[in-house]
Amino acid sequence: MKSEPNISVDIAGIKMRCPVMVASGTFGYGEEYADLLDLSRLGALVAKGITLNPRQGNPPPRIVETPAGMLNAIGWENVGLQVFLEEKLPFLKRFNTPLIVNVCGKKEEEYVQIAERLDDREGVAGLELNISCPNVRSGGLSFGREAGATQKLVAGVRRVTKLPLIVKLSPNVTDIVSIGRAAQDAGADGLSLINTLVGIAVDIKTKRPKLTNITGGLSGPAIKPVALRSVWEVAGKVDLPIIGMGGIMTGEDAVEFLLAGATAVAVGTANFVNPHAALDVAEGIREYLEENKIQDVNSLREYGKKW
Amino acid sequence: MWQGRVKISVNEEVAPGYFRMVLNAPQVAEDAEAGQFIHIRVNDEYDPLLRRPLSIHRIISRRLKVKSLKLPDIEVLYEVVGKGTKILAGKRPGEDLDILGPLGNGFKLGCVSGTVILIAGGMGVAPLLALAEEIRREEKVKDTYVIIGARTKALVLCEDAFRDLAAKEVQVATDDGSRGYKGLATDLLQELFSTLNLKLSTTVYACGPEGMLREVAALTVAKGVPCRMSLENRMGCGVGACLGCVVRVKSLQSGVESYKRVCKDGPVFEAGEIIWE
Repeated sequence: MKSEPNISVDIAGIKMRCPVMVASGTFGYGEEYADLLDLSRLGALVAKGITLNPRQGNPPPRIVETPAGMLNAIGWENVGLQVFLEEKLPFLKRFNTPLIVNVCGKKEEEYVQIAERLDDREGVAGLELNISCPNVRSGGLSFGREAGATQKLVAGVRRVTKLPLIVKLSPNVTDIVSIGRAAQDAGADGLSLINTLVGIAVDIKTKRPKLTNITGGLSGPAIKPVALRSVWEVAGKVDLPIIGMGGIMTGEDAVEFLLAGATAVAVGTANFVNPHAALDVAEGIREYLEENKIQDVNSLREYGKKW
Repeated sequence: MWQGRVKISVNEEVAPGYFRMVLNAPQVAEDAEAGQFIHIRVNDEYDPLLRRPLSIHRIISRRLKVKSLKLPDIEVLYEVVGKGTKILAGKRPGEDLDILGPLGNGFKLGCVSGTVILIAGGMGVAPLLALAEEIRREEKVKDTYVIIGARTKALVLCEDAFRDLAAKEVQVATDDGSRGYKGLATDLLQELFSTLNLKLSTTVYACGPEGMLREVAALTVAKGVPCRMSLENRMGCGVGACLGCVVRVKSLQSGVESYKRVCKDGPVFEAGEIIWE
């Protein structure tokens, strides 16, 4: 009898039944997709980024389609921590799926306060610090662009939480490895790679940018090679588990990330195209392992080290 | 809400650049209401990447060969404007299409009564024809007026279909005067308002280009006539998760300004709550 390959993984102490989670900002707080797929089958769910207070976000147009991708400049529209705890968390707790809360802020104190209030909250499996959002004027990427700022912020949050701390990095930096190292030195437990790439689309009729925010974050299949390069570079130099993301549409795409050094992957833009994408990707990984007679998904990340 | 592959049974050009498509999708049609939409993936490639939202134009009954069973089908109407709709136009009957729906909040007739006015610009006829079918079943609605605006005669859509739905009057406006009144559909609305007793129950439903909707909103708000309109926007997910398709609104109750999602909170909104940029 053929034995089923193991596809469960452990990211910084977060035990996932499969190595596929849904990326922050692409899955709301789960409610929107609950009719379309069984949330209990996801590896983990990363909630839409929350700030201390509610934020209205950027004026529209906020999204534009580009070749094999899209630009977004949502600008952190979210319900704020209080409403998240009162209205969103109770729903998410109903599913037997680890919940990772994406935390955003303009100032270090904001990240710290949110982390403090989530620390021993039932139903929260981990935090993902967003220091890589390109669509807000202050905060976000301003912490993730430079190693010193990253280290200070992560250390500040580390002091107030025992929860697994994942730091989401931006590819819009000179040296992503140095940022990853800074996060590790400050006590991070894992890294999410990558957030979106900053881009522009222009309307040649109006001679204006298509997004009101002018720039937006590029996601989708178009960014997959950049994401893979980032994962491979960081995996070779930083000793933290990596959640790889950027343009994953299929199981094959995910396997590329796992081979490059990721422990798990996140599906983002693909959710918009195929609401079932995360589960399809997990199934695709399992099929790849079976076809290639690989017993454990955790053995894939060793390959990238030899490249 | 349902997602899956359905068969195309009709895909034909009904006016230059305008197509009607019938989809064998009882899973969607059974729950669908006028004003809701389906989100279509035009092919399995990555370019174009995102789904395309199309209003539900009609729900039509398909008689099955076996026994005397009937199943509802979804009909959509679309204009070829870009990459996605160009691919759709090339589809043949018998091919499959991946659809998600029904999505959004429809017109929600509630306890509509008295006089109803439907005003459509161009493609705006798409959801309003489905609405006209629903209105026909409303016993308290006395008279239904329809105003259709288009660039030119060849692009006036669904005029006969609205007449067949027992509209009291169907008026047409074209930009070039090639059919009906030469000018804007909103001119006809203004004129119609002057002939009606607006103190009696009157409701306006609108769909069309932004310029027209803005004018309809101004006219109806000024006269205190309730008006609901269906907005269009580029969308990401279509289910309310990505927050990409928002519109600025001011709550009619509290006066608080915020963004609402066209895909999930809409696409139908109260004319008076929309803040036009």
